[in-house]
Amino acid sequence: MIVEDPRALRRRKWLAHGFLILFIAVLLFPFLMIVSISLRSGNFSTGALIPTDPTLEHWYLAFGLEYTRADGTVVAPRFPVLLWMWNSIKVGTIAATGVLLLSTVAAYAFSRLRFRGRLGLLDALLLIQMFPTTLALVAIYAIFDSLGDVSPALGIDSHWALVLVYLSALTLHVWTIKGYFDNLDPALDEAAIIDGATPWQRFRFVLLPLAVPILAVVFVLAFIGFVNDYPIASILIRSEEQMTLAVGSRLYLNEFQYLWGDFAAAAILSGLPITVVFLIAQRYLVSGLSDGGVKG
Amino acid sequence: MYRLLFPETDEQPTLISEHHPLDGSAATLGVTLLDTAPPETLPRRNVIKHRKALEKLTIELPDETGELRYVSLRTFATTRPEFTRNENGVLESTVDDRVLTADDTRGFYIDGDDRSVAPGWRVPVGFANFERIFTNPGIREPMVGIFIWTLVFACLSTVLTFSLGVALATVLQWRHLAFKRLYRLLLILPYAVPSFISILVFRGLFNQNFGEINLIIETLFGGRPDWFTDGTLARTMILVVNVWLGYPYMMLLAMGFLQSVPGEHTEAATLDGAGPVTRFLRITLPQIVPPFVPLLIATFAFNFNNIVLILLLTGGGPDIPGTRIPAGSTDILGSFTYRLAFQDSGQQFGLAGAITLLIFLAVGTLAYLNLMAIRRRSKVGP
Repeated sequence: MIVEDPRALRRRKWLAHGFLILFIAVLLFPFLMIVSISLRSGNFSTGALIPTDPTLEHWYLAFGLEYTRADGTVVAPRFPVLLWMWNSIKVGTIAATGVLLLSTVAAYAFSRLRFRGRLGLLDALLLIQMFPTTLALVAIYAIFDSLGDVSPALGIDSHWALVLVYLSALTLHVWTIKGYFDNLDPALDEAAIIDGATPWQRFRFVLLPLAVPILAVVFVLAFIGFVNDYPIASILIRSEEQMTLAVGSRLYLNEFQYLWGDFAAAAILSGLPITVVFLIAQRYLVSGLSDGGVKG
Repeated sequence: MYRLLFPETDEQPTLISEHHPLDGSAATLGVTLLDTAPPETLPRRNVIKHRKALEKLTIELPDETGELRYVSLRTFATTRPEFTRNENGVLESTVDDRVLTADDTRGFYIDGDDRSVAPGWRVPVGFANFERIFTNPGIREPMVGIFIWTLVFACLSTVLTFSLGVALATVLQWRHLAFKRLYRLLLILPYAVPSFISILVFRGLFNQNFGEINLIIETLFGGRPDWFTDGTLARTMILVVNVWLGYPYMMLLAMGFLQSVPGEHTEAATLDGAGPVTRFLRITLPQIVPPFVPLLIATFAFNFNNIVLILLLTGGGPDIPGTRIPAGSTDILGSFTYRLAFQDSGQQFGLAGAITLLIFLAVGTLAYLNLMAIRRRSKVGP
């Protein structure tokens, strides 16, 4: 143990705290600003951080309620924020459940069953995962445009089309769950084999109960990823009542209609739940982030 | 049962339609004059629910003066096809004397002045789109610029987020620091907030006239930088926002890797008289960079295609003047392709697909490099 000069140490502590506090102040500026803006009246107002005449107008509109101003004019909500939120949650939940089902089964096969081409397929998964879906946007649009002629439920503007594209995002999760399965003691399987368990029974009654934590992490990760997706949803969804939050929120800020205050309230309303879920889940995510793809 | 009310205008008295259940069945409804006071109507919100059913309806005006169809949320209007097709497949305009003929090599109807009229249909073109990319100066020149900016953007984003992330992680890991958990929680906030929301928040904050950032700059230094119309400023803004969004990921990773750096090494260096900066650069950094390499390549590849940031923050703009296709100074290859295919320029799917294939090659190279880096790392052991 090295003894440091107490005076120098104290100076350094002040320096570290000063730097961090200054940095966090800059960092938090947008968040504080957006809260303040959501409480200001009007959509173009500027002013102090603490609003001089706070109003709940933007919040009423965000919740889809009509707001009556002091002078008697009634403002109707411009956009169905709660509907968009529901769409996001619906699509995200269905797609994340699908990803979870598919990737768990696939991870089990890759981790415990020995079949031909296993290593090649694993490498292929890793490579495919590095190609962002945004590259395939033109192809995705063309595919679902044609699919829509056969079945409107899978065409443009359908949530099922969106879910189907999202299901393709499972490669990374297969690797994460496989890494977890690999770390579970094979002796458990062997014991089950001696007791006469079939592969399915070993999966269902031995590995699955042990994997609940990682499954929860994968579900949350996938869900957040889908709710945050903008490019795919923006090309597949056209009509206002089918939009997800990520696509819809963009309508607030364009050249023709600049609803800054309304956006602020809607952004907090929709961003807060996801942020909280993420902060709760993040301690588990961190370990998965760096070693998910490397455990061969 | 519902009835449709057509309020009085200059051309028509108040009319009301026959009853219809609005169950989605197609029907032609007649209208009659309403001589009593107009009844209460459904609020706008409830009208939205019936849009699909309303689209199926045709309203027949009295005295056979015309038909109305549903055109927008609360409007019915007369619509007539602009063209009629005659027996040899030629389209004749009902408004003026234009005649359109089909051209199966271009996939468009062509008018008298050899101009194509959208929408078109699919025709095989061979390698024409690739030829356009490499030989057409109106496409090639902006594309070269965009490609360079894509590389610069991805490179700078990776380096800046890495530097900031590692710096913050090093400070946070310092054993004499108090309130570590609180600092950590606050520092990862930008990572926790959905990025589409934070990007749009920045879009508003950077607004030239009433964005808060310009208000502060004006009070402190005077002047309001035009973040969205000046190319260089727009690029700076993109980088600032991307660093804000991206450093927490690097910080979290660096905190993990820093824990595996043995404390004895730094202590030995301290005994030899090395200051904190030397210790960091000579002892700590060389030990955390190798495991970072695959993740840095992945970050580079991610930013290479970070079209969400570009589309939501600037939409690619400001546009480079004098190009034949819409190309902006903040456009990266991915957002440029997106705009070609899905925005203002008339759905150039073929050209967009060809460019995508080129990006695919670039990303493929990156992916291969990454795979090699991961392999090397797992051989050496993390």
